[in-house]
Amino acid sequence: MNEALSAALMIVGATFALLAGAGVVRMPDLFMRMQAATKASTLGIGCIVLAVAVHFGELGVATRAVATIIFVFLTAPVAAHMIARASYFVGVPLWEGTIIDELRGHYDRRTHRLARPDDPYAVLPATVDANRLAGHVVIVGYGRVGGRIGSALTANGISFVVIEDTREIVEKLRESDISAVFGNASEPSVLVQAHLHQARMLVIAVPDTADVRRMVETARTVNPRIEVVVRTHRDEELTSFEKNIAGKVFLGEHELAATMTRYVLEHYAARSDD
Amino acid sequence: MTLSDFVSTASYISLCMMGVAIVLAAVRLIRGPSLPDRVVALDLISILVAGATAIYAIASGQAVYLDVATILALIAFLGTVAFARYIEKQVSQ
Repeated sequence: MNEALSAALMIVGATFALLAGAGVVRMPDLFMRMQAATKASTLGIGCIVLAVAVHFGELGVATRAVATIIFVFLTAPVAAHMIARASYFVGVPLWEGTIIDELRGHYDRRTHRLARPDDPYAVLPATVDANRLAGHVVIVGYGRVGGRIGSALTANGISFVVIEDTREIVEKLRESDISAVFGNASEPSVLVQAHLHQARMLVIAVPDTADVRRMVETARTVNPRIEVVVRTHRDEELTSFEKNIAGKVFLGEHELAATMTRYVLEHYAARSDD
Repeated sequence: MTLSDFVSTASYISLCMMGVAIVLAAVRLIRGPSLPDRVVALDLISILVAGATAIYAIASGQAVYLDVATILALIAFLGTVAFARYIEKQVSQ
């Protein structure tokens, strides 16, 4: 029994070590190599030393084995963190496929201290309930259109996060307990703050459509399965958006015309009944 | 203390796997490209050698080798910390 256990632990440990070696060679950038190396080697050493303890089955050996495991588990993260931190300062390049470097701009280059983000409105407060940040709707722009959509979602009990580039609006939304992030929605970090990677739909309700295509592209990189809803005022944009953005596009005047037509037809019928 | 064939076979297989892992880490040590890459590779090598020593404790039936593994892990940690400080100092100058 002990023999089988110690042999199994040994093989498992060696497998993790082998994975660490493969990861260090195959991973595309330093930080990914590190996560392969440190996690796998820690687990590898843990299993192997445990195998030694099981194999000898003596109190003295077991004590030393446990002490070694504790030591490795305490020191490996510290060493990994120090190396990663130092490498980040040296400017070791990230993998070219990296979408967001969330640490960028957060280190003081001179003192090497972690600075607090400059703007509390640019990050979502940690107090926001995590259940509200999955399968939710992200609304970009909380003006006349976005605001109405937001109220309707609240009335229907659907959670949403607002991205706004006007500070005052974010401030007001936070006061009335609506999750809001200040920033430009074409920035990946802003979309991530709104938890777009877990969102179900993205509603772009800003009247200015200059950035819309970039927003949708960034959103699709962060969350390929997101459903996009866009508004516009120009006919030529309607066709170009419908071609380039796989999503629903609403043209302001068309919707207005449709609603007015419905009203006219209903009331015309009502009058003719008289 | 006699060693059953089962455990000794397992320990030799594990030692071979550790050997391959060390060679892989050495490839990264030589290839680099940056200094931190080499430091990470070196750190991994020392940890792997510590693991191999621990396996050897089982293969040889000598528990003392476990102490060697502990010391190797300690040295690996100190070395990495020293390298990290050295890399960080290098930037600020």
